Amino acid sequence: MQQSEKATVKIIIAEDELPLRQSFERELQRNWPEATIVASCADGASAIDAVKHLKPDVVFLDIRMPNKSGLEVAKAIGDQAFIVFTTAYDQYAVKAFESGAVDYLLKPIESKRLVGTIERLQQRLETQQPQNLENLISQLQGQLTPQADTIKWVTASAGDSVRMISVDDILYFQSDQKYTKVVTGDSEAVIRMSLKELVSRLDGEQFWKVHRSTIVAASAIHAVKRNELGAWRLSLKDRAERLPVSAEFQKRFKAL
Amino acid sequence: MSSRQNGLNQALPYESKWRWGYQHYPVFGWAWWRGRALIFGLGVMMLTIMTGIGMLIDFDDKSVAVTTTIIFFIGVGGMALTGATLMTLVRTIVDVGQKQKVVITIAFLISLGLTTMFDAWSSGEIERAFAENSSQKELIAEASKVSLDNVPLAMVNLITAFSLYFWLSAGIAFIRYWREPSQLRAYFAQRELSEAKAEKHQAQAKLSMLQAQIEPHFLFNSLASVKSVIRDKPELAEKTIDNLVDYLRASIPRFDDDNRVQTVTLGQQIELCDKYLEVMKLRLGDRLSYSINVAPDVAGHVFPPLVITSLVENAIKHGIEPSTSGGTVKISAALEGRDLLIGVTDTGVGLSHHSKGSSSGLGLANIKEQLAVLYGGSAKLNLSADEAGEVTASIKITDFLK
Repeated sequence: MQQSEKATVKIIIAEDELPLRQSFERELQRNWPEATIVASCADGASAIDAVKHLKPDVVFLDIRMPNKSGLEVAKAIGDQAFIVFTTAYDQYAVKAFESGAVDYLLKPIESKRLVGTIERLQQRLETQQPQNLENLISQLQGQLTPQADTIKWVTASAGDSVRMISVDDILYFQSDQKYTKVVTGDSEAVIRMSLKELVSRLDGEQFWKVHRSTIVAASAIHAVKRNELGAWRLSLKDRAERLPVSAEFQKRFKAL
Repeated sequence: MSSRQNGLNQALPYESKWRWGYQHYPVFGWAWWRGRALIFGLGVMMLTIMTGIGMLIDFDDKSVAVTTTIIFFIGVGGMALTGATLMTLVRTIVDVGQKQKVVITIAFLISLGLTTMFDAWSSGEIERAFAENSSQKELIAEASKVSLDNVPLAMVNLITAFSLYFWLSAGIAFIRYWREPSQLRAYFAQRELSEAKAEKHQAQAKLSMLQAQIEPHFLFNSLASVKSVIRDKPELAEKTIDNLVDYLRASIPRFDDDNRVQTVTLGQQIELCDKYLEVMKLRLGDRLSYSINVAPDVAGHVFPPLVITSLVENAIKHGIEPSTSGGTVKISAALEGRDLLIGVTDTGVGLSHHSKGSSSGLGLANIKEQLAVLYGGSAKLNLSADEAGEVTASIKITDFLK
């Protein structure tokens, strides 16, 4: 190891697919013989680890990797090293890299482009300090892992298995202290999402919050009636159970 | 001349078990009339021949027997054809509408009257002939006396006579005349509905094909992998390109001459999954192993395109790729009785790990919708995970074999 020698540029590569990793190593060594690849990582977590221990000058990061994405790794690196992202196709990322003047390589990697990137890196290594890309990365993370406005499925544990239930099959959700009960036409299950979270992620047209403990599929509602004790109760099509209704919802229901 | 007239000579488009022969044509059209005239005409001929032979044997005066037979023929023939002919004339001449209905009703009433008159005239002539010429005239005279005094019998006679007149005057066709428009409307409404449904199927199938276009990420990464092995392992590179090409080709929507999505068999789709997995195997190496277990009797059946490949892609994308150690993908397809069972299992990161309690799962929702359109309630798509983290997407189509 030539860690003490200033002249040597230390490089870490993070790429989860073996053939790509190997050929990239080869290409880098061929085009940048003065640099040393100090670590070649197959996932995000080990890349973070390697960066911490080996203090590289340049890190090549694949964006999609197991356990930690390239963006997460870049966040952890901060301004400790120059970062070059590699990606096969990430529309948003490429746009952001261009506007933020961040280095990136598109896979399959063309030698010409790699050479250009290496030249730019060499220049920067002499004249600049690595920048912290945190703002850019945070913005990108939101775009690359888009939180769908509305969920289409919920995962529920039933017994000792996990099951995915389509929201189209769900009649109602009812909160039960710790858990939320999900009821479909032929089954019941428990999910970990709170009613509050569900309200924000379910389609408001399809699901109505009729009570602080209950969300009902609008299509499943049969009627809202007052029971013998004077309390309002909601009945469902083809179902025996009666669900509680808040005063607020009563008003809305009557207004319909 | 009415525009409906052409339609009158064409069989009604809808089926009914209550109709046969000429009754498949709209009532009071010439096609209907010809059929009815033939059947009724044959009946009248038979009756006439039988009555004629009877009278020839019975009567002493053979010429009276012949004249009476002719009267019988004219009477019964008139009864059988007057209503049908009159109303057919009306329907083919008078334009469709309220007026036609009124005129046909009048024609029907006139027909009833004429039929009664034909019967009265011919029966009177025949009775007289019998009374004068039959070898059993005493008996006949006796019988007619008795019947006059018996009120219930007279009632029965009256009802029977009226039913007979009603039937011979094409009364049943008259009822059908009133019901035909609503039945036709119902039929066309039904047909429109099923056509709309078929169109929806097609639109849905096309939409899914378009939505299921190849992921650029997959394409470029695969090409990068091929490039990386092209020098050291040219055979592997070549094989991978072949697999990739087959996979790409199958992912481009193909339509037949009628612009419908081309059908593919389950076997072809499983083969495609095999190619996709082969490509992924090059990329992921030891991180991916897979097995395909398809019963030979299901391979030949037609199945909506890209459904199974989508499930396999999901298994790779959400199960294997996010895992550092990878896992196994298992594809199975089999018939259980008449039901079809398809399963795609992966031993990757597990459900809860990557979806954190919820998932937008657009791909799955899309598949589910496609299956619902094609198979209705008999298709079920289920995603489940066990404790070990094995995730299984399963499709069950009840009564797949009909």
